Amino acid sequence: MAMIECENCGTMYDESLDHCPECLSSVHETNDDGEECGGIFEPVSVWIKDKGRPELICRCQFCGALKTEPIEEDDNPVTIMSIASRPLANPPFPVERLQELTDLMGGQGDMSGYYRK
Amino acid sequence: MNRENKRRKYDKNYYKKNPCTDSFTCRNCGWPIVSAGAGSNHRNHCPNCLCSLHVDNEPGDRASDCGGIMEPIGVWVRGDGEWAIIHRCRRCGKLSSNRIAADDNPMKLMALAMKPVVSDFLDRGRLKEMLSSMQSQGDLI
Ligand SMILES: [Zn+2]
Ligand SMILES: [Zn+2]
Ligand SMILES: [Zn+2]
Ligand SMILES: [Zn+2]
Repeated sequence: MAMIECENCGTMYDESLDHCPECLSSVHETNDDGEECGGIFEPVSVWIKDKGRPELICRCQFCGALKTEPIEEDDNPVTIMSIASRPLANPPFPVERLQELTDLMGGQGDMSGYYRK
Repeated sequence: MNRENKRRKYDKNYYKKNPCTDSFTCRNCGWPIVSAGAGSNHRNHCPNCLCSLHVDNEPGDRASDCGGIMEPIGVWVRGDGEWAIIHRCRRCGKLSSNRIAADDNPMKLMALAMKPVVSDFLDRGRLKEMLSSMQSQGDLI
């Protein structure tokens, strides 16, 4: 099994993996125009694809390119949880006023599901 | 066709240089969208359901022929602490990142942030095993 060193955190890992199993970063080799980039693809978010399959959303720190790729069985769970909770921990509005602010704009959706018995 | 409309039609960079002031109805949820008041020059997604249309290759260039609905799949925290929405085209899979606007539906934004946290995709059993191994004292030598 050939090993490579993660350019972001220095972990040695199996080169057949899409990303480093510890920091979940990878390298942006070439962009859509076929030009070399070399920037670090940083995991910025997690989303649940169809059938509940979790994927990383990665963004190149150098050129801003985006990609999604599956989370692997043995990817570091602490890293995953940290990435997934980042938006929640940095809300753009006071979370305690979520319902009130939504009602103000007449927007759809509410929190009633939680209180339903 | 007046001069302004002509510029819109023939200048492919028109919307990069000028704020879009058209009004339209969201193709996903029917919300009436007025471009002004978004707090940024490009009102590129519906303030209610946060969907947009795949019309750009690069933000604001209107150079794509796809026209698919771009669905919000997640949010991320930018370097400046602001949230941005990740959109993914239902038709072709193209991804893009767009800053949130002051009038975006907070309930839908928060639902995007909650989804990966609430869907317990990590194996509960393995997590509990890890927690106890994290807390264990081990043997003193
Ligand atoms: Zn790494
Ligand atoms: Zn890049
Ligand atoms: Zn809408
Ligand atoms: Zn598309």
